[in-house]
Amino acid sequence: MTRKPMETNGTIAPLTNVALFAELIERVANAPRHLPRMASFTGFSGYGKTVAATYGANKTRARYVEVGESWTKAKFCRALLTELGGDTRGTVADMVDRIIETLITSTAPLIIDEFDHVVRRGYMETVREIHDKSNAPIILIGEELLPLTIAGKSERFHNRMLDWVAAEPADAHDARVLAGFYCPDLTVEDDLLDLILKTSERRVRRICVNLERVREFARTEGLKKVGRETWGDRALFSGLAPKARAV
Amino acid sequence: MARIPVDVMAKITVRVPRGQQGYWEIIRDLARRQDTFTLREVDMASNARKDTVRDYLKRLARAGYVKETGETTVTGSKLYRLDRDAGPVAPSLRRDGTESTQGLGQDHMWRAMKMLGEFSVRDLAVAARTETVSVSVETAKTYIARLQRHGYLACVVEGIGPRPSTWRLKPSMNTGPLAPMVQRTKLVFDPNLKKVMEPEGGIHETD
Repeated sequence: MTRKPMETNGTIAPLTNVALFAELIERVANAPRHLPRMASFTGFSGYGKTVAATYGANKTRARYVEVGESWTKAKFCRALLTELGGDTRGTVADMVDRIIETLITSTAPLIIDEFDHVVRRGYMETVREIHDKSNAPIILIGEELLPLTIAGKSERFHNRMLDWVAAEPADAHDARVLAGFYCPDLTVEDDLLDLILKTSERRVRRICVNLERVREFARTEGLKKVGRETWGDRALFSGLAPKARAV
Repeated sequence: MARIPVDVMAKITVRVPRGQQGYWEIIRDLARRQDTFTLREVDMASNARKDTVRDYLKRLARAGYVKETGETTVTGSKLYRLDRDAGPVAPSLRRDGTESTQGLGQDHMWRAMKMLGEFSVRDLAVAARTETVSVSVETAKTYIARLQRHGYLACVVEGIGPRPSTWRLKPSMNTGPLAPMVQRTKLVFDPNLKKVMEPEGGIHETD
C-alpha cells in the first residue's frame, strides 16, 4: 500500500484550533469542583470554531446547543432540556430547575454555541445561575469580541470564567492537513496552498471551499498534481462580495 | 443484550426500561432522588433478569462510574453510589469495564451533525472521528442516507459531478441526546422519542 502525502483516515486533531479546543474542554471538565468551570472559545467568523470543537466534544461526550438569533429564554431552556434528555414542560423557572438537576451530577461538559445571542437577548445571568448551582463544566463559543461584551455587562459572570481561549487563523500546516482531507488523491503544491491561504484570509471555511474547487479542477483536467502555475489565474473564493458589473 | 426488538419495546404503553441505556436511566434517576441505591432498587424498576442488571452494575463499578460505599442495608444488600455521571447517554461497557466503541460511531456522527450545520459526507466522516472511534466515508454515507429517508435531514445542495451534496439536520428533528439507531431491518428507531420513524414514501418502498 502506498502512503498518500497526508493520512486521510486520520482525525482532525492536528489542526491548531482542534487542539486548542480539545485541551480547553478537557481542562474545564477536569477542573476541581471548587474552581469556576466556565470558559470561552472565541474568534472571528469563519475560523472554524464549531467544526474544530466537534473533536473535543466527541471525546468528552459533550452536550451541545446552538443558540438561535431569535431565541427567547424559554426557547433556550427548552432546547437545552431536549439536548439533555429532560422533560420540557412547565415554566422557565421549572425548566431551569430541571436543567440544574440534570447537570448537577453529570461530568459531560456542555457547549453553548453562538453565545453572543444569549448576551444580546439578556439572559446570560440564567446561564450563570445554571453554572453556579450545578457546577457543570460549560464552554461558551462566540465571536471575537465576546469576552469584552461579557466583561462589560456582568462582573459576576466575568468572575466565573476559568479561561478565555482565542481561536487562531489557519496556518500553512493547517492548510496542508485540510488538503489531505479534501484533496486526498491529489498533490497540492506549496505555492498554490500559500495562495489559497492568503486569498482565504486564513479562514478554514474558505480554505475548504477553495480546496474543493482545486479538486474539481484537477478531476476535470485529469491532473494528479496542481501548483500555482497550472492553476493560473483561475478564481479563488475570497469571501468578498462581487464587484459591480460595468453598465 | 436486549432480546426484544427496540421497536416492539417502544409500543408497550407502560415503558419498562431495559438494556444498558434503560438501567443507566434508572440509576441516574435513583441518584437524583437519593444518595445511595441497591441492585434490588434498579432491578425493581426494570423487568430484565436480575443477573443482567447486576452484570451492567459490575461493569459500571469496574469503569468507576458507580462505587460500592462499603456499607449495606439492614437486609444486607450492598449500597452503591453514582460517582461519575456520564450524562444522558449510557456508557457502553465491556465486561472488564473498558469503554466499548460499538455504536459510538453513530453517537459521534449525531453530535457532529448538530455541530457542523451544513455538511457533506466527507465533512461528517472527518469530524466524527477520534483515535478510538473510526468513521469511514462509507459509514457516514449510509447513516446520512438512512436519516434522510426517515425525515431527519434536508438536502441543501444536490451534488453534481464531483461537487458533493450537502445536508442539514432539520431543527425540528433535533430530538435529543441519543443518536437515532439504524436497525437491521433498515428502519430507524429514535431512542429520544422512543419510537420507530416512518420512512418517507412508506415502508414498502425499496431502496
